[in-house]
Amino acid sequence: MARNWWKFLGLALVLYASITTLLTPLDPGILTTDRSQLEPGVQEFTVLAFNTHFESEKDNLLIFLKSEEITLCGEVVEVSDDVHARVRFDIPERMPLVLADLYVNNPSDGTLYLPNAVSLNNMNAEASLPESCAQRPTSEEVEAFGFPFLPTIFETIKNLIFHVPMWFTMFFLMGISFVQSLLFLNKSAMKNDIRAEQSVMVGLVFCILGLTTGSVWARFTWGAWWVNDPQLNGAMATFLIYAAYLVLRRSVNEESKRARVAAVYNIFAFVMLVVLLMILPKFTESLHPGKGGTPAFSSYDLDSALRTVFYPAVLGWILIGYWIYTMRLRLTNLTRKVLYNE
Amino acid sequence: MNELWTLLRREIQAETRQKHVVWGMVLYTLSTIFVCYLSFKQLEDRAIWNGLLWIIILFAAFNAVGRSFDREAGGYNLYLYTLAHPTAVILSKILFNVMLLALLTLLALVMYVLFLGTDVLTGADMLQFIVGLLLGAFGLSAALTLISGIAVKSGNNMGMMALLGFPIILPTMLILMSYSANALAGMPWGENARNLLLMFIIDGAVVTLSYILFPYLWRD
Repeated sequence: MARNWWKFLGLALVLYASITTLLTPLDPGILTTDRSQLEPGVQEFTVLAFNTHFESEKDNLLIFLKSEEITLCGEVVEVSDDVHARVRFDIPERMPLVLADLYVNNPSDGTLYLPNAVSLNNMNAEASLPESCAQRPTSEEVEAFGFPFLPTIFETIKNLIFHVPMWFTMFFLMGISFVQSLLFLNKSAMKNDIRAEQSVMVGLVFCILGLTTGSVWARFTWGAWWVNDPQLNGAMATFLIYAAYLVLRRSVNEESKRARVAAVYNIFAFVMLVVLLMILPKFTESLHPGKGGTPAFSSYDLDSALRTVFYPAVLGWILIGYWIYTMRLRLTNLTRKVLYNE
Repeated sequence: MNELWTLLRREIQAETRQKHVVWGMVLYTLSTIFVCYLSFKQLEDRAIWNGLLWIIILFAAFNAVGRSFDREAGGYNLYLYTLAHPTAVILSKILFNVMLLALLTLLALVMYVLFLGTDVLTGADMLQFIVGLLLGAFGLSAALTLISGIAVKSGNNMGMMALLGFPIILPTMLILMSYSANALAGMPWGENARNLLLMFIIDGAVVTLSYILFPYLWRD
């Protein structure tokens, strides 16, 4: 029990992270409006929001349009439920053509906005600013525990907690394998070879899990099960390299020769993999965050709520991966003991 | 160093004594190109022209480099093992394969242009492109020589070679394709500086790793 504490820690962390992820709601946000162009005069449209509390905040709901030049205050006509609000704007006659952002503010949800929501369609003339709206007070930011609401990602942001730790765990296990292969070439001890093989086998399972969770995610956000992206190609190459490693092992019969050949391939492959996964994507366009100019999760997307779940999930999955690896190792050693009386 | 040159000379001698092997490789490349010609006719699209050429070179490389260790039977290897240092053996094999593949690549380019058309080459920086081909020959044969040494230890040499080699060769291929696409588009050398640098880094890593790892493979 005392020396197995880390196994329980791993289980607890993964359970905590998975359950919290599934229970945590997404922050409120605005999805869309039913009109994207407004003519001069009195105009009405419906705002569709997500996870908001329009119904209970009916009287405090503040909706306005804002661009660099103007602020237009809307009059809330009807709130049919928590996520639908019908709003009326009086668009002045003389106003330049602008794209305006839509803002929704209420005490429960804080300030939400949808960039470039509507274009205000009118020809030349100077802007005339309605003063009414800017002076009305807006409520404070609301600090709620929720995952960030991001366009096109929406609820699938929760997949981050499952998808990314798979790759961390895989890298951890392949790292073990690399070190064990180095040790084997150095000392020629059979136990290092067994460890190298078993960690690759467990790592490969995590690689497959990472590929599947990623594929499902890609289908939702990028529209296809597989897209051309250096990160994805690298992941596929990783799978091919380690699957080939296992095939190579099974095609050499003599044990010491197999161990040596496999160790040489493993070291060579790992170095090429580092080039493929760490160095090349830095120079190529990528859809993944943090690569080729797209911002990393850590810069602003990984907010505090996400962080408190993400890091425990990574640590938990690594511990579980390592646990499975030690179990496989015990099993292999027992099998060898029975078969060869070692 | 002396040992290296002797071994290299011996590799070349062995190859010139068995001329049919070299001609076999040339014929293999020619057949591949002719099959490509029959399925594509004239190629006007630059990206496809470039990609197809590299695939042909890749297959030629697997064919040529894949046999670097089964040229000699076991008895000769034992003899070599007692005489030469393993690092000299691997370096001589790499050097020999680089020369062989460089020749094969240039030959492949001539045949390829002959069959699949020169439309793509208008406006291309030919010197830059050929430097890319030679660099590619170097990168591919350096990486594949060690893989060939690994594959020969398993029963099924050529099959294993493809299985182990393809994923390993991916970074090299990605860089080479982007390099030669730039060269074909007639971009200045500066545009390719990054690709050249990456290529040198990978080649350096591959040669160093081969140098360090081969002695472990060699002692049987």
